[in-house]
Amino acid sequence: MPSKLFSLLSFILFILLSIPAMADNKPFIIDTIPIQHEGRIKPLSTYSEVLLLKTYGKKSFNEMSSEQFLTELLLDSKNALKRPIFNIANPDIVHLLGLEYDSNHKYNFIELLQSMSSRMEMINKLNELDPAKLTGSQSQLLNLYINLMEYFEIARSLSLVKYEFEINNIEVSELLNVNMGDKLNYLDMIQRKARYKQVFHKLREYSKPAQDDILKIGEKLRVLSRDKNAKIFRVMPAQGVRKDNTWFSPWEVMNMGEGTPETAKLISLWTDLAVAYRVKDEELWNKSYLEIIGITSKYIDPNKTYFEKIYNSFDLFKISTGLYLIALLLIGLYAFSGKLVILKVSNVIIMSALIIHGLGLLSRMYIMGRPPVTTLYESILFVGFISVLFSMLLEYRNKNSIGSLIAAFTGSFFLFLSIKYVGDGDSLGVLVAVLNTNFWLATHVVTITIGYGACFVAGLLAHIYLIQKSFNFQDKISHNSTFNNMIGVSLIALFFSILGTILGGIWADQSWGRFWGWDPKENGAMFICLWLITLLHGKLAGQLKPIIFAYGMVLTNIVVVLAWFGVNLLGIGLHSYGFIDSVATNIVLFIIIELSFIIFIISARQLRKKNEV
Amino acid sequence: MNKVLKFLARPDIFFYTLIWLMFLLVMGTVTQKTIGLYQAQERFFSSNILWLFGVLPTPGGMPTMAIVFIGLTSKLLIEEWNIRKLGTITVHIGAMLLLLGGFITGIYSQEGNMVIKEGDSAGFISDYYDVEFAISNAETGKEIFIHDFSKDKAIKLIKTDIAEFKIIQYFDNCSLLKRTGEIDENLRAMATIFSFQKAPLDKQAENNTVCIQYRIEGEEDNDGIYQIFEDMPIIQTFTKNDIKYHIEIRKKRTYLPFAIELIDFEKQSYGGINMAKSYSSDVILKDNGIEWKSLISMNEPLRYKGYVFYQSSFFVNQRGEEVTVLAVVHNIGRMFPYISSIILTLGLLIHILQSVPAMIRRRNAK
Amino acid sequence: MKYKIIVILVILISSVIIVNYDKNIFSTNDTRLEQVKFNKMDAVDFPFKDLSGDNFHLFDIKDKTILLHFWASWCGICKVEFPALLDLVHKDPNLVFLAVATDDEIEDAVKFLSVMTRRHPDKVNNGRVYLTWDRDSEISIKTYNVKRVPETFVINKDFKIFDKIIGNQDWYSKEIRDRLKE
Repeated sequence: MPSKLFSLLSFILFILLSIPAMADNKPFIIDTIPIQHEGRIKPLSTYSEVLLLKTYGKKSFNEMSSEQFLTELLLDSKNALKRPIFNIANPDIVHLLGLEYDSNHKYNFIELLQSMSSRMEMINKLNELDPAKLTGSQSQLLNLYINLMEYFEIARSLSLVKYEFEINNIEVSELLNVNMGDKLNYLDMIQRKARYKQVFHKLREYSKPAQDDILKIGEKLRVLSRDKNAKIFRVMPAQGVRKDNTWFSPWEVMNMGEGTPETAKLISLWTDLAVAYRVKDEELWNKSYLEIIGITSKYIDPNKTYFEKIYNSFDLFKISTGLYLIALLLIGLYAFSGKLVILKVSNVIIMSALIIHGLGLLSRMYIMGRPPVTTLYESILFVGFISVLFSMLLEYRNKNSIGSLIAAFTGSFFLFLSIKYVGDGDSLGVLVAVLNTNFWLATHVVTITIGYGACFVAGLLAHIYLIQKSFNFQDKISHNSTFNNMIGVSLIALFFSILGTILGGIWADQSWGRFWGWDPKENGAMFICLWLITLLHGKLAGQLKPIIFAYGMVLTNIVVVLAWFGVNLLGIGLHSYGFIDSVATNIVLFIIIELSFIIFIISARQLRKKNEV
Repeated sequence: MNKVLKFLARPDIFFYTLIWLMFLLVMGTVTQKTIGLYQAQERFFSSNILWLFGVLPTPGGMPTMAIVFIGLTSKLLIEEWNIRKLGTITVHIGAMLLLLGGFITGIYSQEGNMVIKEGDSAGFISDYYDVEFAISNAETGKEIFIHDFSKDKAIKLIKTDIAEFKIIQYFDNCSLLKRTGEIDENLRAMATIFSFQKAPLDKQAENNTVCIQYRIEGEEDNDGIYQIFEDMPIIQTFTKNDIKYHIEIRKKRTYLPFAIELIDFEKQSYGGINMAKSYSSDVILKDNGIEWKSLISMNEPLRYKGYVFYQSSFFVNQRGEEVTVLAVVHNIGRMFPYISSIILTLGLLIHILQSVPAMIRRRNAK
Repeated sequence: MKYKIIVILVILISSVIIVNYDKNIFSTNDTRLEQVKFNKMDAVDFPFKDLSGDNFHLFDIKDKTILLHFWASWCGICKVEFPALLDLVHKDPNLVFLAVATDDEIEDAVKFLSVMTRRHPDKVNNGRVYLTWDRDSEISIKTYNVKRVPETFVINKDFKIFDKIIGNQDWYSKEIRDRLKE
């Protein structure tokens, strides 16, 4: 036991030690500066991942991190726009756009814009249609266009502070009251627009080169002013002029009347940042970067954004998925070799994975200031956590490797499943008004998901019991042990399901005025309770033989999946959040697998009976 | 007596009733997709008899739950009470109370909407589904006559002090059709322009529009066939002895012993996107000259004299004024779930602590 | 049997009592939605020249509430509300009015301001009104990030901005008067 504890602790220590090393702030990367995006204030690191996932489909672009990539897009747009960042997996769309489809199918902004611009009529038409009526390719094309525009908007977000004007004509520099060779940005030019107007009116009086320069400046100003609608890059904190807490992009801030000395300071700091990036001045970069963080710290705790950036860089759930998988393999190895050491090692790995899994959940709770389950995605993460926790408790009491097997299996299964439901965009989203209450999220939602988790553990115990019983693995004593475990866990599952369902009713009573409304999700929760009650009573009263009870518990998995995901498919009711098309096929697949398991067991038992006769 | 109880408490009856209840639950959930929540609820959950395939009478939700309730109660009575069974007995008492609360709520609860414009006040709640036929004085608003259609839809003649209304047609939901060609000279008012056509019931029960066609006879100028439907934009009038009356079909009203005035409605959004973070209504409650200021917001209802007001929804009317929609509930069984859930979960907890540790132990068979 | 019935009845009756005990009271927690307030911040000093050519700094104006007002002569509503602002400041000895004209040409601003001076000599010359023209948008765009007019910053004695009022306003209304008090 001490050795186990020691290895566990050293593993955690290793993880903790590596945090500061990874979080070391590198120059010329924008990551912790906050942005308001999808209603939430988050570090640009998170936004950069969202953007890259939307366009490229991965969290990093070749050797560039998403933050590096975003920084380049903002401050060296010319270079960034040439990078093949748009991943178009659908060959139909590539052909439609008149591009060459190859195995790589990555395209850059410029080539895509060219082919898009000749097909604007079609895109406009698609945009007017009801999104539900678009075919797969159509909505992909529309999405591509939207992503393309967002990408470009971000590239132009800082064009007002980047130096676009260089005054190399002595005449012009005198006229504009600047020094020869000075570099000016859009804002500097706008400040001098009165002078520029005067100069422009007397254009003919100047020398030819001066005239050319003056005209060039005018043209550039005209082009730049087109960017004034760039508003995605909301990095200017809300000054409180307006009632809602909207942040603004640098371009918008003055046009919206949100300017203050503070925004003026921020804009000049962004200007410095752009200069530092261009001339690679590390000192200036760090100084202005820290000052920006300093100003925005009035609006959001910089520790929180910093923490979120670190959370992003780790991908804790991926790490624990890997560990669960390794543990699963080891348990397989143990089953063949029977060496107890392997089981012990795998238990340590599962516990480490569980701790990392839990750290991931805790991080999300800290970042959002919310209980762990608020979306379908988070419910999967949490059910996974609970299943592993319960199975490891079983293992702790039984020490027969069954708990470990279930833990490793549920852990990797749910974490794999969760990947499908992250969705594109930030998985840490804001909530609709009725859900925006921490108390009920913490009680009702958490309890009901604990119930789901316990149900799955009981269901898997039923699988194991059936296999043991039908193929005569191990002795009768182990069979009974598994069976009793199953009943014990199903009682726990029943407890949490009933408590969760009733708490849900009380929440509904508190906010809508009725305890029960026969809403699909409510019915789903009630169905789980009734199902477990029926099975337990049936077993108690003798209507159900142990083997039938075990079949029933296998079916519990289907019942839970239907209550959890299935009711969303109906697309009705108050709980139909997180609806995803592919859910239907996955549910059907799951049901088929579980049913064929039962059929398989039944036929195996029949066969054995015949042989015995 | 004991024999009867023993029969009622038979575990197999309980077992098969639960299976039937699960069947009802599944049906009532799945059919919501096609027939909507309200109808599914009426057919499967609050019904006494469920006509399976339209011909086979089977027990509906109410009797099924009643059997469960009776079974539970009988079981409690015949069972021997001892400390070993403390958990299960507590659970069963809790479940019994939960069902009892459900029955009381089903029978006695009142619910509806209260729609108030900013600056206005309201003193009644409108039912979600039930409609009534109402005649009121156009000037004073005083109600002269009310007929509740939820109690009698098939009524043929409505007798009132001012006139007799012969109901020709009644539809639970209808659509309007513009009349063409020759128009019957008996038709009056709206009836000359549109005819009613029976429409299938909408999935969303609140989208249904009740329509009636009635005839007035022996009232001289007023004689003829009229048509009115729910919430008609131009209210049908009827004049007798120089007094103008409003004749309308509207959601059934229940008058409250007090009134609520909306001072201000506020919606707060998340910054930068058009998604509501919370809603709230600033109201004044007026009861016999006493005025109370209060704020109703999401998850923060106002309770007064057994009525509870919840922030349900809001809209902006054609004149650009903000209108709040409050859900109002009056339910004397309200506290039952709270009590029963405490008892129930406590019982389960005791049961688990009593039995589970023994079940999950190494090599614990027998 | 009897004793069971009694226990069940006791539970039932006590529940019914609790059920009927419905709190006829108002929830005391008056959780108003959080009002977004202007984030108080430091004002930034700047030099300016009044129309007669004397040099000042913003921070020279001591112990008064300063209305730092940005306007332009091409802006109709600015010109409409200008007399009201002069009047408001004239009547409240705690206020100082610093009007920054953002016109391209100083002449345009002066033209309107001389009309104002002629019409309201007492209100302009009470020592609490400063009029300046913003050359090269140094104050407006560069220092205060103001591009559109009219916009007014309200600055307290400690040179903290405690509110910003955008667009033309009814300067006599109670709401505005409240906002001018910290």
